[in-house]
Amino acid sequence: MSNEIEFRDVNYRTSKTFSIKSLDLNVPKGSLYGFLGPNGSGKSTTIKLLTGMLRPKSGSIRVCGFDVPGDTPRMLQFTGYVPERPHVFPSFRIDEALAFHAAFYPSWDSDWADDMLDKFRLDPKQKIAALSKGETGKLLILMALSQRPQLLVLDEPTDGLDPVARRDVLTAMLDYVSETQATVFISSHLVHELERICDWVGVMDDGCLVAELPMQAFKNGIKRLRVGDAPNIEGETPFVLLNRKPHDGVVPGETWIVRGWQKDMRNYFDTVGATLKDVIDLDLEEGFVELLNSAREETDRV
Amino acid sequence: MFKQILYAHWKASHLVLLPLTLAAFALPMYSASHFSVTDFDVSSGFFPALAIVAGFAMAATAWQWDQQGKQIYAMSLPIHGWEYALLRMAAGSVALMVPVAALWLGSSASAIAASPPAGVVAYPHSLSLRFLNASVVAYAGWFALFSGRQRHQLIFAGGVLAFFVLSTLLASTFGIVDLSQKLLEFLLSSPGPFEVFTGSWRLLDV
Repeated sequence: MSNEIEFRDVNYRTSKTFSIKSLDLNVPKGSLYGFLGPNGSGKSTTIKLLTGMLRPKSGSIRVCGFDVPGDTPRMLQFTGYVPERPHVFPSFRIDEALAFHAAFYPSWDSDWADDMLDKFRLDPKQKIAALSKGETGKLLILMALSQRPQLLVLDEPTDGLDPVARRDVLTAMLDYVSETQATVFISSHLVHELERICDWVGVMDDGCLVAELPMQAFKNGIKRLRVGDAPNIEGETPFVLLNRKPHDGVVPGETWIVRGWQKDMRNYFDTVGATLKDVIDLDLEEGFVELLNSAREETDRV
Repeated sequence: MFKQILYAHWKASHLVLLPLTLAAFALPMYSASHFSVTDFDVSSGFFPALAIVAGFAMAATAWQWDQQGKQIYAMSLPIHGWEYALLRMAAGSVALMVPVAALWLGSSASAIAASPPAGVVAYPHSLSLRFLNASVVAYAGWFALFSGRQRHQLIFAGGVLAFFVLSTLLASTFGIVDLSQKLLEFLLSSPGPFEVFTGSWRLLDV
């Protein structure tokens, strides 16, 4: 499977205290890639790097088959971008903003844009500065989709929107994707939102990509185990042990948080003389939090 | 594409363009009505001042919306940064033609209406051309300054101010050459870039 976005060993320093470190990112063509991470983890910086707004200190970036930042204008012909904060000129009316935007994209579909205006109940004569947050969110996704892009880059597109506006924005995006098989790169810290729509997930923390895997593997593979007679681990385990918490005085046994869990791995505990008492599913948010905790503990140890 | 950039510029600048255009139309009339062969013509200084203000206003409005959005929108468009800057510059230059045309109309009308004494001639076309030249020079300078980030603009303005204050202080304290004076002389005299703002600017002259 080829990739729509590829980062290879990308480094970028934003300040003395924060940098993107050796970032390798692979977004498969046609995927809905959820880019998760807490605030300040480097999601928006990564998006600015991939849209050519920032120049990496080292490493290479390819987006839609073009080198970035070298070939940024050609890459942007095929990319619909919704930034974290509204970027269109506030003194424009909606119809003026659409006409301005359309002039830069030969692939602009004005019929589709008109349909979406009706569907979103946006008044073309309304001034952008007077739009509500929800209306602005709808307008930005409308502008990005009317370009008919092969890649959509969405930086927290539903942040601060009410549930109705959020559903409208996500539905429009999903309809477009099902029709065109476009690739979507969507960043958010709203874990549950991405859980429903994405088929790949990447997790950023402190400028590093701490995990990148299919959503199914992420959801099913992270478990909380109750382990009796927990051994000291020497050698390799068949799963990735993210975290190990001692007996908490309430529930017997140690608590292990593991990644890459499969049913047949139960046998491992027999071989080390331990008892597996329980296997508990974690939802994406719990898995996400455990993954971040484990990454941070690992960093602290180093 | 250019049409849309021009429209965006018009939208951003039309409120300042209107008074500038009226002033440019009225100024030659004022100059003609206050003409005196012997006295110093105060209005002579108004023309370059208006050119500087017009250049400033067009350059500021060319970048105003992009600055508000930290240039994110411009950078997300599928054209090179230099192309976008050129389109913006061209749009501002076209808008600048409105006060220039108004000044030409105003001076032409004043030249027709005026009844100058013998030996005095009206120069509506050369005055308008000079105003066009001065406006474009002013616009180009302001445009370059406003295209930078706010931080860089402040650094530049601070640097220029510090240079003038320091060189004046050093010259007056130690009696050495005043560099700021030398720089001004270079900029304002031929072939300096700002020479166009100096000299006599009169609609009616001998």
